Amino acid sequence: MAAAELAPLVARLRAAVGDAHVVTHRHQLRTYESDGLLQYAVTPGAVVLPGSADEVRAVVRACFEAGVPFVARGAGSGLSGGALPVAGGVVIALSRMRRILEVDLPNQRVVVEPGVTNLEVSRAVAPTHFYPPDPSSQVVCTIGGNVAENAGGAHCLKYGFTTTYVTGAEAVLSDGTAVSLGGAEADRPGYDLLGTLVGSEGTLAVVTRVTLRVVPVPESIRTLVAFFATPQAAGEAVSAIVSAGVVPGAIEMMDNLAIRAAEPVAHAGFPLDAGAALLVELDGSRAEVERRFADVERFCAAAGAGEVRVARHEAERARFWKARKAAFAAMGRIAHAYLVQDGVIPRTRLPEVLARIQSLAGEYGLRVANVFHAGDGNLHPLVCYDAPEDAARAAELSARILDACLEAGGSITGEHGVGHDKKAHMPKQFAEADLAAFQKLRCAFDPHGLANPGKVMPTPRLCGEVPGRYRPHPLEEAGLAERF
Amino acid sequence: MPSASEAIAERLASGGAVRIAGAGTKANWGRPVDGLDPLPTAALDRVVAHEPGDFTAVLEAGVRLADAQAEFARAGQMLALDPPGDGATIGGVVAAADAGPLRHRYGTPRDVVIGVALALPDGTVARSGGRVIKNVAGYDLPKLACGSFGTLGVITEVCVRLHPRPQRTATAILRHDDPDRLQEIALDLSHRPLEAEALDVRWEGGQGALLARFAGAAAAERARAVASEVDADDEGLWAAQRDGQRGELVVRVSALPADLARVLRAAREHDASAVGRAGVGTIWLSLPAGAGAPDVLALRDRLAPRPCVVSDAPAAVRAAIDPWDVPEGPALELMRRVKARFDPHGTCNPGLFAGGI
Amino acid sequence: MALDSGEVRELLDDCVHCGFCLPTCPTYGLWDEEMDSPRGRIVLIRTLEDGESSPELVEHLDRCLGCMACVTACPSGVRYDLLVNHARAEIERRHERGRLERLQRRAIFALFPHPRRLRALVPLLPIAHRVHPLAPRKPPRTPPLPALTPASGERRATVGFLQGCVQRAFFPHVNRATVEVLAAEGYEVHAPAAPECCGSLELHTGEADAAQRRARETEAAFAGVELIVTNAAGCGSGLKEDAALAPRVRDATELLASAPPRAERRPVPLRVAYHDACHLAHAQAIREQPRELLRAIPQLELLEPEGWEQCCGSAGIYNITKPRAAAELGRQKAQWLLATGAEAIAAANPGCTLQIQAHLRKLGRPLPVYHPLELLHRSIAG
Repeated sequence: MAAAELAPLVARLRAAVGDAHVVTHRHQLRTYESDGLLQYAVTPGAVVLPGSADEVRAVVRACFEAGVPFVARGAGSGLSGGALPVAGGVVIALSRMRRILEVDLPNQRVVVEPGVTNLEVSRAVAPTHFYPPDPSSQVVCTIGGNVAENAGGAHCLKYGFTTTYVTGAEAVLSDGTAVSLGGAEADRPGYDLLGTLVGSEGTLAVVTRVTLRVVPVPESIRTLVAFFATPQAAGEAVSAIVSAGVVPGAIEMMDNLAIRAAEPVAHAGFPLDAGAALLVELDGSRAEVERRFADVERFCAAAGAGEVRVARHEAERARFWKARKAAFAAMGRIAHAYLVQDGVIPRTRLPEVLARIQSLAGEYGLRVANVFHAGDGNLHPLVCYDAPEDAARAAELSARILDACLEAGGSITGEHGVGHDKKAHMPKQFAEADLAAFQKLRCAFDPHGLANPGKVMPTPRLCGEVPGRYRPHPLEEAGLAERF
Repeated sequence: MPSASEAIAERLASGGAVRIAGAGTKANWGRPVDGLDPLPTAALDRVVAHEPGDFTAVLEAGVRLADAQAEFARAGQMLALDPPGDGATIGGVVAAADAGPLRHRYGTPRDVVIGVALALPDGTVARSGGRVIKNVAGYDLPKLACGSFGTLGVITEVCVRLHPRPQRTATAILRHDDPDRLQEIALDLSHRPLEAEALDVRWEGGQGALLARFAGAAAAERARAVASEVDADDEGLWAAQRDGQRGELVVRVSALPADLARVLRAAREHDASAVGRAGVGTIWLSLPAGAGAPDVLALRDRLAPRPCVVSDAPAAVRAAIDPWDVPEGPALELMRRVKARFDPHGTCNPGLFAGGI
Repeated sequence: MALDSGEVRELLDDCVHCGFCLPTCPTYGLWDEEMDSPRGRIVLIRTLEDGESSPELVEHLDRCLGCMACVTACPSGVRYDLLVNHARAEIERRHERGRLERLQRRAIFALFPHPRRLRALVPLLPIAHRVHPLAPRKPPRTPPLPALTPASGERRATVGFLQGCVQRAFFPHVNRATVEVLAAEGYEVHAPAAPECCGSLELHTGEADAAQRRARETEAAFAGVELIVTNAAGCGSGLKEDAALAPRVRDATELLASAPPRAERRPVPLRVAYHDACHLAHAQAIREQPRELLRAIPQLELLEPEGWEQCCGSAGIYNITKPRAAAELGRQKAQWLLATGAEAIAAANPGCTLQIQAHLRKLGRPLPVYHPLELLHRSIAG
């Protein structure tokens, strides 16, 4: 929408949140063009920063009455373009809403505004409790964003995902109606709409308050990192560990390229010539952890680990984790540019898919670093390239890696979301009937198609009956969208 | 040759309203509705896949949970759901979001179901989720299916994640008759990093107990660290806990751990027995013979704002009051909108659910 | 040290937009807007590099404290320090500031880099802080620094001591203590009067030509020594940005911690909270060395405040040009320092010292703020 057309809406936004919290200057708007995926940049028409749930309602209501789509944004650290603005639309930035509203430790609940960062939740209940979903960006990513993506993290095989820990949320629907889903209690009656909201990537509603469950810090945490000559050997150790019925708190793998990027950042002492590093963390009751830890050490040795290093204290454990969590961003040190991919495969197919990735990389003549959650088969291939002209080929290689994941019976995204980046892949994973069912849900929440349109679904779809006066959608007028 | 799922979808698209039937173990739940054609799911009885290395399995909805568990046990694995009712089908368990004591550690069906095939009234079969544990592609319709009581479509296939089956178990027992003391101990236990399989409360005849179940090689040792009374042969204990969730008139209270004393006092007041997840706050009150709708209303009043849902109950009770305790408001309106999109003509279990859905 | 356009774009391309810098940026903490975060400022610097500018763009860059907490946090190794310096210089070259702003900047640069002019204000100091909260106390009478102080015992190296501008005028006793400690630890200390200022203040506010001149003056003044030592974090950081000078520049704590101590340390029974000056901790990554030196003092209890990474708000001339933001940060810092229960604060930068003193006073708890070298001097001299 051109600036002049947006002026009446902007005036209403200013009235709702105050002049200081509406951004319209083109230079300022540029800073909101991208989330964590720099390859997509779209300039919004305006950015508004509400400070309360009431202001969010007023803002959304104003957008609804103007017929202008909006995109909610947390920290803009997402990796699927989920917070990519709609050209000329409104970005609703939740960064000012960052209060922790309530800590109810007896019931193990924390109530937060959506702009609170993931790590702040754990800090609020430390040292006796913590909030398990721990994406690598937890120092900056917000709970609102975590809810949108159903964020996982390294500890999710044992502990679960964001959806496991959200018991309630208050949200604003695209017509400005406030709705409360779930609550503090678990196991409530009715449809699990809260469960559909988590992971809906901002396309169903704007979340204004979240009730989270926290859990006690485990009695014992033991961490080791084992170095192998090849990722395949490390994979064998993983199989042995998992088959033996050990459920590690986390089990992460990095290949040589990833190690070489991350070590100078983390100073964890990882050998730069190791083919693969396997980070295994066991947590739980002291008795069980001690017993299982000895098993894990044995499995690593049996799979040919050159060295098994056990973290002797918390500082060392933190360094091991820093190496893993800094790996993505640290890739910039060894490659001019790179694409982060996120695909899932059944764990048993890991060796063959890794081999396939290697072969594809060779075919394209590009380097691919591998960092992944070995326990649940969630891969993060990092496709590196140096010359700008290689960007398109890198994107093609990245897409073919996703195809390989699907061929192996997996999914196009384990935790980063579909967003804008992968919507074209959706028809490869889902049949028409499946996509139609997704659309039914979306239309129930947002019949007007204003909440983060252009994300998740591969093509724009309209919702059929819309209450109120019929207004043909511009895309429909242009013959570009089917009426659903 | 259409698949079993497709056949069901065709039946939904062509015929009138239906009452979906699994093993019939929860036929007396929800609002009483008459005059619906039964739609059996017994033909959906295949274990489609079991991948022990991936800890996943695909089951058709008519597979009995007990049969599936036997299959998984052969590989040293289990589906971490232990609701009451030996005959229940997996489809029924998921549609009712039913769960048992393992819920403490492993969650309810929403936490173990990773994919679902839903036969819809428009004649299509919609698949969501997938066969991998970690997956955020598309919308989380498996969550929507869990606890939807068959009102959005027929669950024809379920993909589940499995867990290692514990070899050895032992249960610590702490007996008290004072609800406040029981709550105090329950809170303390739920804050300790015990990693218990289950943490339950039992209340019967004015006597209470907390049960903490441990699994693994060190199970007995860990149980002894919690209480002096330990039962290493604890199957019977936990069967009794599951049985306590069924009865003539049962109200399930969705409370918080710090509500336990209040709920037990309410049980005492109404002469009810109770079993439940002390670490979670979900408690089943089994009301005595002669209890009826007024008792349920009194409980709701007393335990407000915690939802009190009537599960097992005579039809008369379920006709006199709303079994679901979902208040009018934007959330219920949204549920109606979802129903309208998935089942616009009210084909699937109409009138059974909350808000007249 | 000017960067050409190609180099600037390469540096800009290092940013992968991960956002890890956001939680460490004090101005993002104050205002929650992307434009006032390092990640957003990088987009603005790119815009500047594309040939565009606007008062809005300039304001957001002016609001950057230059604290470099983002450099410490960035996993991709983005050289935000180089980018923001370049941007500030570009702005001074291309952007027309408002009249009042220009006057303010001219007044600042007419006063601060000139120790003689600052010294002229010293007699006014006893009443000055009633006029301006940042004004320092009147320093104790200190004899002038000798041009040469011989090393005690076997000479480890010859060093040139940078007297500084603000430090020399308002904290001459800190300079004296520094020279005496260095000498006691075996360094032959040359303390020329030149340069009158190292130019960091100008370098970090976009006065590129003036900064260049001062760097060359500094080079000339210290032509004959092995190392150039400073006791002001801002000076060390600025000098290390000059390619010719950098290899020889050391912060005093950095130098002293690099070799085993010689002079006996006597007890200083004091509970001291250590304040990390941004230009020491982030810009030069010097965090352990001052702590090591202080911990080696018997009976000195070193306390760690919460929020060590966050700037106190002094940030060069920031507390003059952006007083409200600086005051909020100064208040937060003072509260964190007080919360440790310390009896005194240790801070290795005169700007920080002035800011912290002012805000402790405002909270009614005017604890003494010492330079770590002062405490070391007390321990050695007895």
